[in-house]
Amino acid sequence: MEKSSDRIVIAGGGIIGCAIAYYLGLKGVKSTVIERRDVGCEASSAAAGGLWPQAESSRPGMFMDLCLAGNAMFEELSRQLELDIEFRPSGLLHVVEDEQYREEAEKLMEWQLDSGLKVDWLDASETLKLEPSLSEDVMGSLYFPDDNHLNPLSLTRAFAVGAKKLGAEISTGTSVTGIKTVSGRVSSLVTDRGEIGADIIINAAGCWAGQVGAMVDMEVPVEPVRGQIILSEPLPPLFKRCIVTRDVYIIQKPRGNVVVGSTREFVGYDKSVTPEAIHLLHRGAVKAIPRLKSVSFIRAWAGLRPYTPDEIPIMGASDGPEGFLLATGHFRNGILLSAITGKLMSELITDGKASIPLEGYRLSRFLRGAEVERK
Amino acid sequence: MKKVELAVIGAGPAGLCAAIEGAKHGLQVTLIDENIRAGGQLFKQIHKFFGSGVHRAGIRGVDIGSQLLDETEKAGVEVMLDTVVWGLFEDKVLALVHEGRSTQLSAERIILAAGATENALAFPGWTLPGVMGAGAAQTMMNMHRVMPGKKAIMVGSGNVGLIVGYQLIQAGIKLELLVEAAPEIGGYSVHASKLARNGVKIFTSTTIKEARGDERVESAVTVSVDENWNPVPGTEREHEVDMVCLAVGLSPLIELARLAGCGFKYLSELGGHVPLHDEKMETTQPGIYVAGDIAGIDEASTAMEEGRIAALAAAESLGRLGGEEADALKKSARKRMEEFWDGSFGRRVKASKESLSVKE
Amino acid sequence: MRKDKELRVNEHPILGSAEERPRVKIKVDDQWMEAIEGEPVAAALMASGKMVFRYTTRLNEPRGVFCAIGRCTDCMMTVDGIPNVRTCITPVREGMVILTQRGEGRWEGISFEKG
Repeated sequence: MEKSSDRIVIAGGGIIGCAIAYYLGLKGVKSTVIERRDVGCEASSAAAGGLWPQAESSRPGMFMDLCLAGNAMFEELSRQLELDIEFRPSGLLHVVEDEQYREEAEKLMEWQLDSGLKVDWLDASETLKLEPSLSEDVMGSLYFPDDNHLNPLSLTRAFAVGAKKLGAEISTGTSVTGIKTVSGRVSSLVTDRGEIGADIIINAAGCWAGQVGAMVDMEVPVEPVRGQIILSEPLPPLFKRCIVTRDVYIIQKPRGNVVVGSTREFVGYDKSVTPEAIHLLHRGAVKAIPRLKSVSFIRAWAGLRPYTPDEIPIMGASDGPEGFLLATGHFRNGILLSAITGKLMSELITDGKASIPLEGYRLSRFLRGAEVERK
Repeated sequence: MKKVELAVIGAGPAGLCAAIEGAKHGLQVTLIDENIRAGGQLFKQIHKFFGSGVHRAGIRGVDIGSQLLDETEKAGVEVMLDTVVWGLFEDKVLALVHEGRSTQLSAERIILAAGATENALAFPGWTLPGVMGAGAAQTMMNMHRVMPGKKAIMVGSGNVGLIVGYQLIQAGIKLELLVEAAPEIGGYSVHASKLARNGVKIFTSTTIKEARGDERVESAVTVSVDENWNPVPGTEREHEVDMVCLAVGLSPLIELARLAGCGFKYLSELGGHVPLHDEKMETTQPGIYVAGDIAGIDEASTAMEEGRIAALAAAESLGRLGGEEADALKKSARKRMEEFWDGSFGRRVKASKESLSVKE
Repeated sequence: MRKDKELRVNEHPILGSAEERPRVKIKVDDQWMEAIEGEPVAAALMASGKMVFRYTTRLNEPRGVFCAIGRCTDCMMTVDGIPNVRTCITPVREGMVILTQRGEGRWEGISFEKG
């Protein structure tokens, strides 16, 4: 598909755009990333950095497999990348506080064990033995030893720095304003700082993928979903594993800060934090780990995650102009899926085919759905 | 959630005057400050203020502070001390924390009078204990009556550097030297000559290069700078001092205005990013006003007038004050400010302030 | 410590002579000392000649009072078992235990009561 002379331009300098540039670079292919503000300044830096393919999945299948494949890449990647991405093989405890929730947890465990995944049920005393900081009210927990965490900002930067070293150009402070086509093929990307000739354009604009799609009359059903997070002052080690409860998730970062997330709010492009959410997150964290009551929370922020109607990303070729590809809509899994997305997109561009089929991720799945509905 | 008509954040000169003025015109006012004591930086200002009689000139800041606290109490203002405002949310909801407990307060009008913070200056050794803001030294000496060192060097010759320099001497600390990177002294000559009379060396076109010491400042190295602010090699001199005071300007404390979504403008004459505001001190967010250093670094005298104007505007907008009466009162406060600005420094401040008008 | 050794401004041309004020006892790094009731911890320590309030987490560098009005967090110490307390705006209390903080502090005395 890709010819050595092809000019590849990526719209969006978030973790997805930077990962694609990095993996293209590893294949010896140069690309240009166009970023409106700064590298990873939206969802990528607002994320908590959980890599949780198992705890976050509700059913087996194509998407679960993609998440697992993505997760499996980080251990090696943490050695391969030049910057420390604070990858921590920590494991995750999904805390169960009541009987009804326990039934759900058991179902989850059942199908995951059937799929050959590692997951364990721990009773209350086993749970507390593993994480003594947890509330004694815990009924038990699901233990996922392979769900980990890292620093999403460092990872984004590491991809960007790595990509640059491999020949990519990253143009920050540059807004995409239009896309030009010639006889059904993309020909250039227009920005507020000039026009860039392009044979391949990748829409990796996250929550703004709809706006970039519209430049080629394409409807990309990506919508921002706000997530709020709070962060504590640095503390000595309180707990090791990621903690997930029905209300919140809690991670203690290597510097000692405890991160508590998150909310899921359809409020457009509003990135404000709200007292209600801060209160809920704080209450959820203290309920799970009572000792957090006495510490100060020093920051609260919100990020916008690119949501799609089926909560599965949109990747690969489109039915739009030739050379126009998509890699967006990663919603809550952008960090987890960054490496695998970069790898698969680079394969698609250079070899014409990704090593994991991307057909199920095509934009056209939504268009078909729309037609069915109309009938 | 508790509701008030007017919440004033910061109980320095601007906030105190705003609270008093608001209460005078019938508003239910809550004044919030994170310190255990109201008065802001007034109580460390032991020098006489400038201006004419109407600006309480010739009176020391510390005495103005006492007067204002007295008036605040008489006016029936609710004062919440040791209370940090950690959030400002939609619909003017303030998040407060007092003794480890977080509460919310909803206000119909808000006056932000959070003041300013001292700028730091980075040079090798600038983090050593003994390097501190001039204001920090002032707080220690004049409020707590503690000597932060015995022998000092002052960096910066604006009014703060000159005045605090003199106050070091008053507190019994030897002021070894005052350096100024610019070719001329920045502050009023009356303050500079006081220092000269006390045998203080003032070196212009000179800056600090390094603070040396193991666990605290033991000496400071100064260096001359050329017209492009570059250090001139070979002009280094080491001075045996145990404290380095930095008087290199102030920056408005604008966090809350940012949270409120106010529009900003960068004006170096006023200390950096300053919230846009109109003549009534209202920001681009309706019902949110600014007063004092947050609205651009200036003197306590103008901060007090700004506080009054903001409170008058708030009272007027809530129907507590007829337009004519409000206009007359605002006008006279504005006039007092103009008179105060009627000097070369003031004119610069005034010009900068005018460029902040939201109406532009 | 003897009062005459303290770095206090006892005489001042504007503020006059310092009045005698009640004193409290505080414990600083295992040593008891006197402080003036109601003054900030930082003022009491500075009067005793103590300049290093903490050592930084990564580089172990000394830090002391920088802004004295609660803004810069340079003067944080562990007070009554709670780390990261801004000593310049925290008044002394009889029996207060103050430790020079190393890094993030030890969080020993904190009351981790149940939520």
